[in-house]
Amino acid sequence: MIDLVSSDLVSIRNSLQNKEFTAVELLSEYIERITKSSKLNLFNTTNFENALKAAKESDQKIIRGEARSLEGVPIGVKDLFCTAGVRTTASSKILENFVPAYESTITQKLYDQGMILLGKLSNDEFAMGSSNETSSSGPAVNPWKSCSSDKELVPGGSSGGSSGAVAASLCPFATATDTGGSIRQPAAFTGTVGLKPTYGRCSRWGIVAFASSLDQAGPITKTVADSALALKYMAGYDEKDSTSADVGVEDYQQFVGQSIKGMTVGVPKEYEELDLEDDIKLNWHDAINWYKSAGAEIVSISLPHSKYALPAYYIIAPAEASSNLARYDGVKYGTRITGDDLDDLYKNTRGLGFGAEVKRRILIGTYVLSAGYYDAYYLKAQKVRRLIHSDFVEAFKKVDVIMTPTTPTTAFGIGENLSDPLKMYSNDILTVPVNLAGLPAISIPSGLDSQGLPMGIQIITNHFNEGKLFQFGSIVEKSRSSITNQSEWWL
Amino acid sequence: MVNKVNQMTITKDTIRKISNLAKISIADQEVEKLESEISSIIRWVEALNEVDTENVDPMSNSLTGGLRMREDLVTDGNKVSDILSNSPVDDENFFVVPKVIE
Amino acid sequence: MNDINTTSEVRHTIEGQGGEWEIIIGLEIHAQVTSESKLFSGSSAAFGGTPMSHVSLVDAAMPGMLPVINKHCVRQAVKTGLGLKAKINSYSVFDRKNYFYPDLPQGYQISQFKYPIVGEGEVKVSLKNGEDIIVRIERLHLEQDAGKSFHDVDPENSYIDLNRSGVALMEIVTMPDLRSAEEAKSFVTKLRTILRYLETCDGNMEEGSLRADINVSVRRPGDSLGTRCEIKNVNSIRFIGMAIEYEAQRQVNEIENGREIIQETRLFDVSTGETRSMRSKEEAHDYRYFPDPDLLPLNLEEGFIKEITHELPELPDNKKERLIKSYGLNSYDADILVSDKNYAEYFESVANGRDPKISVNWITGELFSALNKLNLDIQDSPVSSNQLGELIDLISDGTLSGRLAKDVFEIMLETKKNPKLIVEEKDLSQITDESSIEKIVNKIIESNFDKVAEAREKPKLIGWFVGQVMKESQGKANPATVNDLVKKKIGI
Repeated sequence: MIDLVSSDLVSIRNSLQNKEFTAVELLSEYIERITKSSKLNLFNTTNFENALKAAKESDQKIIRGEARSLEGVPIGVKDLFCTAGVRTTASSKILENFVPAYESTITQKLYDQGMILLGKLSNDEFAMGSSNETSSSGPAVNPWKSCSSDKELVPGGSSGGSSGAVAASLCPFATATDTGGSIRQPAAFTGTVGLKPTYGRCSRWGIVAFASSLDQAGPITKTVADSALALKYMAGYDEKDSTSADVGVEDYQQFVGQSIKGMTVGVPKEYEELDLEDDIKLNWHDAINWYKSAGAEIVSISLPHSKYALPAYYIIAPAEASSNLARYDGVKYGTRITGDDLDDLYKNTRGLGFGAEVKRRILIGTYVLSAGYYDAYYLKAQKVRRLIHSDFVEAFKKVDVIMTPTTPTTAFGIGENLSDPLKMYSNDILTVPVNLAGLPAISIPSGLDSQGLPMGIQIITNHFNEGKLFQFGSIVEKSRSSITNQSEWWL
Repeated sequence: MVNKVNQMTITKDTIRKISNLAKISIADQEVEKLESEISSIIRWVEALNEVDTENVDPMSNSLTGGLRMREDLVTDGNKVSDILSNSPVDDENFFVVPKVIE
Repeated sequence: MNDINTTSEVRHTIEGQGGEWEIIIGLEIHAQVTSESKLFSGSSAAFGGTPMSHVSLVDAAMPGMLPVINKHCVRQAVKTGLGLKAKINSYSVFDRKNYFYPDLPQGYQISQFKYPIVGEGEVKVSLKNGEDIIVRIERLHLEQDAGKSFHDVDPENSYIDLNRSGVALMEIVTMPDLRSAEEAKSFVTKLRTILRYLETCDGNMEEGSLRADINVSVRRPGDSLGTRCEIKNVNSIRFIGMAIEYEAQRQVNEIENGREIIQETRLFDVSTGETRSMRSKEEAHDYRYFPDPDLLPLNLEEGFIKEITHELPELPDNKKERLIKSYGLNSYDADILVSDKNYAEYFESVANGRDPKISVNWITGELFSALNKLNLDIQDSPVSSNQLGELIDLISDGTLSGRLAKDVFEIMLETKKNPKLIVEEKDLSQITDESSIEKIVNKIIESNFDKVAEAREKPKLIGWFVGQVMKESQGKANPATVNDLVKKKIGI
């Protein structure tokens, strides 16, 4: 019996390579645990049979001494990454039977290191949402519960399947994507580490697009060291992606635990005014003290345009999405719902194939790009985007990293915010500015609130400086109180 | 420039027009709900009108530097079965759709 | 607002019931870029292929697929811009043009809207009346072609092939500077010549490599611009002329009958020669252009543009000037020769060290009519430029008369043999030796003595004697010598 709960990516990798257990043994344990965890509704599709074959091959490689860096380690993949021969749905009815003939660059890179696909993880439909409730396969459920209530909570979104699966120890590492906070917010809600790399750091090829200028893939893991290890193998230049940056990839694990003495941490003064839960505010102030104790200098900085990030984001992202999702038209692949003529085919397919939130965003995006409104909305938002970006550029002249809470609240109940889009959108108030500026950021579990729910601290740094996120992230990891989930109620 | 708020009201007709552009069927009873939801979102994003953006260049991507170009080589194609494998209706290697009237 | 236009001089009018009308024409030419692979994917850009064989995952707009631009296509656009004497924009942006159509798999076409790669330029067009006009180019931009829809395979359905989906096109937009069907046809012909010189587009209209959208409006001379209609996708120069003539007349009739012209998209029906409204396209289009977030701005470095400038071939206008200057050709002949760079090349090879006028006459006369009959391009001519040159040499040195030369040329067409060899084999060389010719002349005069007296009365009969002598010599006698001798002998 392998203790999956106390295992992490680094320890599992080491155990496999030290032959403490085999890949097949490990996989079997995961399969059993996943099967028992169906209440959480985290997997859209499982890949157990193929995985078993792959695990046997991995064991052979390990025996022959040909093990690759992550040989035999199982991985969960957000259902936005196209996987050859394995159904990829983006958690949408419109793609419910779509089986790609191709493999996304990132999953291929991970397989090339010996990783084994466990299955495809739930997300908000087309990554649009902050609660993983808009999935066509129903809401994913957070393994965490409040100590004072038995209600089921959301695992955050859009990568709620990924955060939930790592938090529930159903995989040691899950891929995810982050357009406005979709890695960091779910990580904060589930006590996991979520990394959104610099825009251009990880290839977007083969990932179902939401908003192309903002989408970025990253890992959700249990620890900062795992995150550093995962990034090393996800990152890298891809000639098939015109927005992939040809910037060297480092061995990020070297930054974990590195001293931050004499370095500077920026704290945005405008964020003090935000409507944050008291426990989160307190936790943030605690973190300031952790950094002081670690020898860093705390600097108050200003991000004056950050408060406009959400409205700008809710113009730009839907605009891009309205165009990116035009290809789902029932002609070439995916669901087709016919009618009297071609126009009916389009409208029925898209009207019934997309869920409410996706339709809402497509309509908003269509509106802000349409004749007469482009300048007032889309162009305006792009100009504001420039100002938000410039705020960060200024700030990083003075500080190494910026530190904020990841979310204004901890995980909320399923159904609580679904009827109020604006309230749902406000979840991303602290994460969205980072995407608009294309910066890298990480969310680290930083403690539990008075309800016993995890909170997260977000660390942001300059473009292509991910090393600092691990360096500063490990301070939070070391300084916080324990965040073990006491109950495995779903098993 | 700064406070010139563009009062653009969203009506049921607006919803019908954009849903037609986006090729999304909307049931009549949905139109009203969408009208109010989208109106409130659009009113909310109009907070941007507070920002002075005169002489600010729009930013469509955070990456600087230009577009990378590839060489003119035929490296792809001849994968008919991959192209058609998820097709709802095809015939003789063509996608088939209800007749388009020009 | 309407006076963005151009020369106020009225060049051409058509007659309505109530007076003269001027036609104002602007063109949008879609020229397929000559390249191996597509604009944003690595699949083949070749014409034809079995359905869906030239299709990549990108062309089929599979989820998560991304565009990467073809450098050669960018070069071709820049080269074309330079050939149109246009401004090359070092900064350009690819936008998405959003609309739904089954042969548009992405649901948008990647095009250039606000910032095209090429700005304003111009094309000099020689008209049939010998005048030159300047047609201003507004812009040139790169964009993707769509796939192809077949509406007549099945009564219920349309069939979609994506082989063309994503092939690179250059859209070349003119200012409204054209005034007649003839001018428009001459312009497209000239543009096609330039593109072929540049080798940026093969100009093959049957395969759809060159298509035109035609904007037509009419006005009373001196008035401001009228409402225009756009005739979509006309794919031959002849049809361009027919479509304009029909459409202009239609608009004149509408206005003269008190109706208004509605700005709309129309289709040219090849079978009737008429244009008709495309009702399906009438629903208001709102393309929602915005910068493609999958692509970054295209920045062209000065060195890149310079390099292409150095590779530019001699273009038709320069070539024409040079042919006139170095060979003393007239403008008419020069125009014919530069209309295809292969003509000019053939000519220069023939005229090398030979009489340019004789060379051009042989090429535009015998050779062109032969090629026309054989339906061959000059590159595939059975008579090479060296062979034609050799033939002309045989004329110049007196070996062949003009008539004999034509006979030899016919044999050359059939056998592809060198003219000297033909002359030898068939013993065709001209008889120039006076005494030999005199013998034949004497023989003819002797046997036709009755006609000699008659010929003295009617000198026209001299021709009959010459003919008989030529016949007797199997056409080999030098006609001038024969003529002289016949006159001398008869005593005229």
